[in-house]
Amino acid sequence: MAWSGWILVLTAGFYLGATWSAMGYFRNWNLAQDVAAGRFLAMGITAHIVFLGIRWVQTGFIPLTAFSEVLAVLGLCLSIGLALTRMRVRIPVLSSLFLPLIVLFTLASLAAGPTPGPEIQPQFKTTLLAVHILCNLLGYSYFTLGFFTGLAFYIQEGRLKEHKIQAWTFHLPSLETMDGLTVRFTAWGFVFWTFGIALGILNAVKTESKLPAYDPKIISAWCVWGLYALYFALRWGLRMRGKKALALAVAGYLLSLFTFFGVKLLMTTHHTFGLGS
Amino acid sequence: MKDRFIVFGLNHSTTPVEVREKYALPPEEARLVVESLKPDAAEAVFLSTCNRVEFYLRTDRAEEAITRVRTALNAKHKLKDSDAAKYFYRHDGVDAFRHLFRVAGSLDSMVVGEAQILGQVKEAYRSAVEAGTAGPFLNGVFQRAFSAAKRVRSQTDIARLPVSISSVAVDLALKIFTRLDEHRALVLGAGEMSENTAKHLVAAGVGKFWVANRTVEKARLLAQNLGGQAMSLAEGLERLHEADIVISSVGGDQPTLTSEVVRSAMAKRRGKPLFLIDIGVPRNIEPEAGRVDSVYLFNIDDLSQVAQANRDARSKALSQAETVLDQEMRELLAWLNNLALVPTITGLRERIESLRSHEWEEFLKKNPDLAPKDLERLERLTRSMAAKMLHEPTVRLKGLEDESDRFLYAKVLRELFGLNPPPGSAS
Repeated sequence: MAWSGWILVLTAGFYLGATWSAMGYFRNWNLAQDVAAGRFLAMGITAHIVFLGIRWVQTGFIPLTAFSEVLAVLGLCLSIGLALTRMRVRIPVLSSLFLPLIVLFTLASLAAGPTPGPEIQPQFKTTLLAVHILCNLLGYSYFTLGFFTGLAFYIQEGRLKEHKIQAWTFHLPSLETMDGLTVRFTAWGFVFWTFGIALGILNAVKTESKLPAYDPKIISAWCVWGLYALYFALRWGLRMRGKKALALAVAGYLLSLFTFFGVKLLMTTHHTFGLGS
Repeated sequence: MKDRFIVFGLNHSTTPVEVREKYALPPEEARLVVESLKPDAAEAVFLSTCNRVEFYLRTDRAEEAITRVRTALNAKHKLKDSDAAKYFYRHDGVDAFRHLFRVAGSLDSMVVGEAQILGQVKEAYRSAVEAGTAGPFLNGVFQRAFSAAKRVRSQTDIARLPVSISSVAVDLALKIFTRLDEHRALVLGAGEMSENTAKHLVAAGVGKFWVANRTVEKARLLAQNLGGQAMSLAEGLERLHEADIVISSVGGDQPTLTSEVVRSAMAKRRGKPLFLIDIGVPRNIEPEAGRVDSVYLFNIDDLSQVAQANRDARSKALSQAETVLDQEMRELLAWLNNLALVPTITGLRERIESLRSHEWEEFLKKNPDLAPKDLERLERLTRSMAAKMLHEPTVRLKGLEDESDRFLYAKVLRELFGLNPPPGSAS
């Protein structure tokens, strides 16, 4: 393994430490363990940034072309999203939900190995392309955060509705908080997604002077955008809340997963960088 | 004779309330009793709550102190000492420390995990400090008890889960709404149960209150107590959609809130959640109302079940809490062991310092012509030598892990340097 790979191992180690501490909090409700999870997360983010910086220098282009790099960036986006949320609201239980996911992405990135991505033609090596991919990855990350917060809302809502109250129910944040976070995460995801699509169009026009309109990834991305747009229209326009609104957000997220993994695995697409984006 | 730490008193598990209440003393009388203990106890703290009356003493005359207290208390309430004896318990040494930790941590309370006891123990200690009956020893012990109690509360489930119906209602409200001060509660019916629950919600910070009752005058009285607004029951039902939390306890055979009324209110609320607390018997709110989207309905039985489940969970957390106390006890005992060495170490330092200053005086007499600068340097040298000679034995003595070794070494030091025997140290 190249020495930069060891930095990713170290990153995974820090995230594992954070997950262990966050799970410890979930078991014992000891705030000191949540604080430890936060420290491990900060160390993980630092190591993660160092790893991606080294990859950038090594490959001469933003590390988004190989599958392992895309997964690593996705993991970093998630961990930064979580860290920013932790700084704004104190909901220790959220870390127990998200950190295993971050570990999963980091380990998947490690398992995928340092295999280089497809050779990119020089005319495609533009900042616009890099920002387009990054925006979409940030979109995925925030949709993921929104999805899991929504899931926690759904579970807690069901418990309250059916009076299945257990000790841990009292440790979850209020429905209002989780609902607010779900909307906020999803809104950020939507903003990044919209920018991602717009920059993708701009990049295609600049480099190829046309739009690959029938690319399944683009169609799927537009469908994701449409579903989330409908979600926000119903949510903010008709004040639709609770399970119905959540169902739409879940559909949007599942379609975004299909856009990320499914299109590449099942269909032919122009989007050959990494696995998705 | 050696000082001991003892706890002496009675509590809810040894004494019925009709006896317990006789022993509860108002602060001024409690102060007099504690002060009367001065001849027998070097330090004393008196704790009196509705569930316990206890004396925490550092004393080398334990029997005399206990007799004095019991006689004073029993004489006041005209109880025979022999009749009252069965209610009292006494813990000595390690058991007494552990008892204090369990009391402060609310493990010995009638409702395990209740929040008030820590404040009451702190207040008892503060009163003792003000009365001059608590010194450095009890300061160290009580500060450690407070820290142990905080750890128990923050690191176990013992105090986190609500166990009364009213506090369950408040905690459930906080699982639906993030901040209660931004929400409005509507109290339907002005009975005692409604009042209790509403008071808990006020204490938890609910911003606005409406009280609706068939008799508006009664509603007005309760609204005044809660700092809210009174209205008729009909008006209350009409404005249901403006409330976020509804506490209902209205008399009558028919439900006050039907599912249709709730559904129509929810349509106006545009999906905003509504928390319905039905504490009326027979029930005031149709159970079907709980199936409406974003409506969370709990009746008195639901709340009782949650409270019972939480009580069970608290009992399970007891062993966790005892583990925390074990760790804190180890730290306390280590501190006590060091504390027992303090007189020897202090004596040794004083002896060395007295030798040094005596020799220095002699030296000055013999060398009157030395320059002040040189004298200063030489004196600094003697002080430094004395400090360095004492440093190593002090560190090694404190570092001895075996208690009997510490005792032996301390004894040898006292013998070798002709130190006074140590004054009684508490155990």
